[in-house]
Amino acid sequence: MAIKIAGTTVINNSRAVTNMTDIAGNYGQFHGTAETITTVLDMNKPVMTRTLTAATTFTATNIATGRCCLLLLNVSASGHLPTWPSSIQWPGNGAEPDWDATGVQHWLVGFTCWDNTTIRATATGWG
Amino acid sequence: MAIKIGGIPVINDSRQMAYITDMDGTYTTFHPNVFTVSGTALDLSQTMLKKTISSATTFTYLNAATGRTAVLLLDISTSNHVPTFPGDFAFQSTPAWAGNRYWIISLVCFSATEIQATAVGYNTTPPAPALQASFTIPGWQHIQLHTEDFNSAAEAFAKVSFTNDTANDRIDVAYVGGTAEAVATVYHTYISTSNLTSITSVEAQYNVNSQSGPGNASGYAFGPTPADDGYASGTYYTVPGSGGALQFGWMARVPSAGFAQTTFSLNTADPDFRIKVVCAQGTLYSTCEFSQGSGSLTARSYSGQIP
Repeated sequence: MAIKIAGTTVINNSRAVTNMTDIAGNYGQFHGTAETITTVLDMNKPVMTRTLTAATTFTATNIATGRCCLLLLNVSASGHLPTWPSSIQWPGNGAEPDWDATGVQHWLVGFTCWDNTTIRATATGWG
Repeated sequence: MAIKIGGIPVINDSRQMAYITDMDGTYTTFHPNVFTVSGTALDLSQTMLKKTISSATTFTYLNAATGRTAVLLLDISTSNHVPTFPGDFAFQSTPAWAGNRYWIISLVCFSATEIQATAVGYNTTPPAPALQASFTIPGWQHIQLHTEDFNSAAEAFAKVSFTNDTANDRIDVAYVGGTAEAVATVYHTYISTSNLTSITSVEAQYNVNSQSGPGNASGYAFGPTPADDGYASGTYYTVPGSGGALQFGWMARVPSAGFAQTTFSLNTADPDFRIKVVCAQGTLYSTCEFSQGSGSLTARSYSGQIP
């Protein structure tokens, strides 16, 4: 049986916590669910994965101050180039990483929503 | 009604979960509240902190505990006011605060008095691209037919070449299509590199879906395809300086009566031509999508009159 507060479900029959307005405390094994995406970077998804099979243009949605997400991006051995929405900014002078750098295939891209329109990103690449 | 465990409310009437000693599971839509720092104390019990400073500011901290992590979104304004962090905060190296306006500072508590910090700076607005993002080669005549008679040689060609014209701070993209019948006009598109510094490499590539030419390339100045000249599709090659050129050329030629044809298709997911420049401003690209996808060069010569 679901647990409700004032008629609103807070723990449903699948033991999923929902509709919480705030949570304070500690956590142990508590992980973001990884979801495979196509071209939409959803800032509601904590961990996204994508393997490119061609040059790909991304869009972004659900941008809100403070939201943080990770994208596990595989540009493949062919080094397919991603194109990012203008809402995403890169460190320093704004230059993008060298997505098709020789020997680099896997990228960990971190997104932090600075406000409701701007995402500031970092990226680290591995072979 | 609140839910209590042992008399302690773990979910209150505002649907706030509190006093949780441990939590296991996975999460999807779950975001930190953004805590605006009103003074100068960084409360490390908060996950996401935000602060704009309007003068040089010295921060303090509280509620550090081993394993806690927090992120500070710091705006030092257009005046680049310098923040000073507590001595317990350790950066790998002191960030160059004046270099950027916006900073994302990640804080990890190694203990209650040791906070390791990393800072990544961003400009308010990315500067205009130092290298134009794309270029065009309008009217490139990459479909050519040359017909001759009485065993005369026939030749049709199309090519795109790249030169790093350092004297004029530009990359010269020269493109031409023609036949041996008449002098062909070479057209140029110039890509400025005047905003780039410390250029360490300039490379270019072409991308074709397919290409083929006559097997016997005897007498060809280049080609029949770039692959025959050692230039594989999708691979970057160095663009030489003035006096040289990286040439991607397609040609069909017959020295006497006969028929030869070279074809290529530019219809790939990647740009038809792409320039890559590595310089102090980063790794920059300029791409070209030609409006017509398929090219063909045809050379035909008859032993007698053209029928």
